[in-house]
This record gives sequence, C-alpha cells and structure tokens, in this order.
Amino acid sequence: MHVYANPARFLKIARPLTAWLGWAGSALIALALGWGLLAAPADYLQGESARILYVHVPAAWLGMGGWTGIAVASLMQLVWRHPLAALAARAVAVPGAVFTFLCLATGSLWGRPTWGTYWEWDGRMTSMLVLLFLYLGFIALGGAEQEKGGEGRTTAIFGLVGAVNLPVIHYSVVWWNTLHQGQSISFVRASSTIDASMLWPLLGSALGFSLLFGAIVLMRMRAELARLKVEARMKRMAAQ
Amino acid sequence: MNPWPFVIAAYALTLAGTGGIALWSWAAMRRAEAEAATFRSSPGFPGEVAAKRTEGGPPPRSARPPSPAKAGDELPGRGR
Repeated sequence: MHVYANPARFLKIARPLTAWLGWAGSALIALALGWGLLAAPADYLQGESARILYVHVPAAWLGMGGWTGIAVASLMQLVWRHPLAALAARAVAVPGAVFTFLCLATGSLWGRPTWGTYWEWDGRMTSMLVLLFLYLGFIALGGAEQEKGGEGRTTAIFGLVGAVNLPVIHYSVVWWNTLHQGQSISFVRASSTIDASMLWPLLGSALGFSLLFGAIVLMRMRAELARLKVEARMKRMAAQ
Repeated sequence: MNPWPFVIAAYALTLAGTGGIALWSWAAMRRAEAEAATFRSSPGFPGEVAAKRTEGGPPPRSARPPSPAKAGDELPGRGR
C-alpha cells in the first residue's frame, strides 16, 4: 500500500483503471440484472418478488464493504500516516451511504409483498439504519474537520469506532429473532443454499456493482487530488 | 398482491441511485481536473508572472517557469 503513497504514482494507475472499472462494471450490471429479471427462475416460496435479491444483496454488501474500507483507511491514516488514506476514506463515504440507503429502500420494497410491511424494527434492519446514520455522521465530521484545516484524525477515529456495527449487522440474524432471513451465502465455508440458477446472476450483479463502486471511489479521489493541487498552488502564489 | 410494481420500483431506484452517483462523481472529477489543468497554463501562474516582470533580457533563473509539473508534486504529505 505504501507504494501508492505518492499521489503521482497513484494517479498513473488510477487514470486507466477508472475507465476500465466503470465500463466493465456497467456492462456486467446490465448483463446480470437482465439475467436476474428476465431469465432466472422465480423463487418457489416468494415468487417474483425474490428478483429484488439481485439489487438488494449487492447494495447491502457494498454498504458494509464501504465501511470496512473506511475502517482500513482510517487505521492506515492513524498508524502509518499514509497520505492518501484520509482522502480514500472520504471518497468511499458518499457512495457507501448511497448503497446503504439503496439496501434499506429495496429491502423495504421487498418486505411489503413478502412480509406485508415496509418496515420492522428488527435487528438486521435497525443495525443497517444505524450504518446509514454512521455514514452521514462520517461525511459531516469529515467536511467540518477539512474546513477547519485539520488532519482528519477525529474522523479517522470515528471511522474505526463505527466498524463495531459491522459484526452486529452480520450476526443480527443469528443473535435475535428477526423477520429477515438468515445467511444464504458463506464466503468462509464457500457454500450457498441458493440454487445455481439464481446464484450466478447474483454474483455477477455483486461483482458488477463492486467494479462500478471502485470506479466511483477512484473518480472522487482524483477530483479531491485535483482540488488539493489547485489549493496548494494558490497558496504558493499568495506567498510569492 | 402483484409483486411486479415493487420489483420494478426496486430496480429503478437502484439504477437511478447508482447512475446518479456515478455521473455526479464523473462530472466533479472532470471539472476539478480541468480546473487544475487550466490553472497550470493560466498567465497568473507564478513563473510566468515573474518572467513578465523582467522585461527585456532573459528572466533570471529564479523567475523561470518551473519544470513540467509532475502530477501530485504540490500535494502535502507526498510519499517518500
């Protein structure tokens, strides 16, 4: 990771990678969602409403994955003082919040025909809502600290502490009685209870959204680097 | 209950949200990088201002425009 501590070296890789991730992600999303919506079979119990799976699950994974990224970047900022870590954490926050919101909204739309309600204060949904509030807090705190010219240490500590919510979300369906279904895919055991005809479009969709998420983060990092460059030059001009 | 309106709403919301954040980030990146590029070539750039001050002979060494900028040179906390 320290290889990319130099912004010039980072930009050399980020420029071609942004376009590649963006186009590959968009193509894969189109393919997987078309497959999930038109070709994959309906669920034997939930019927057609289970097709929401192909947008809901990737959004949930990216919402949680985004905060994992923030926590790792915050740790790198606090321990190794990686110069791009704070910038990366800030770049992840907004898309992470968007995907967390999409997870809650699509879950709510799935809940109405399946459970008969848009919302229930159960463990999984409530902990996911807490994650959305954590994202909003992180964005506000990061913006305020940046405005004051701070190094972002308070924001980084917040990013690390907020990671406590991730295992709560993951195990909420185990620890508490919940309306939400249990875990269907285990990456640790490399097993799934979902039939292959539904699993492949789901994995395709998750990969597509992940690639696009990566492209969005790189775009936001590049924008921030360009803004910092202009700011630094203006300061230099003012000093002359 | 007909599930299709819920399915369509979920897909539309996801595509609108994802497309929206992608386009917004792309536009912000293009704007910021264009601004940085314009700033570098503008007449207000420190090297050019100093060169204009010394009318006549060649500008002193200190007033010459800096070497072609390497991206990230001006950034604080540059990696070693």
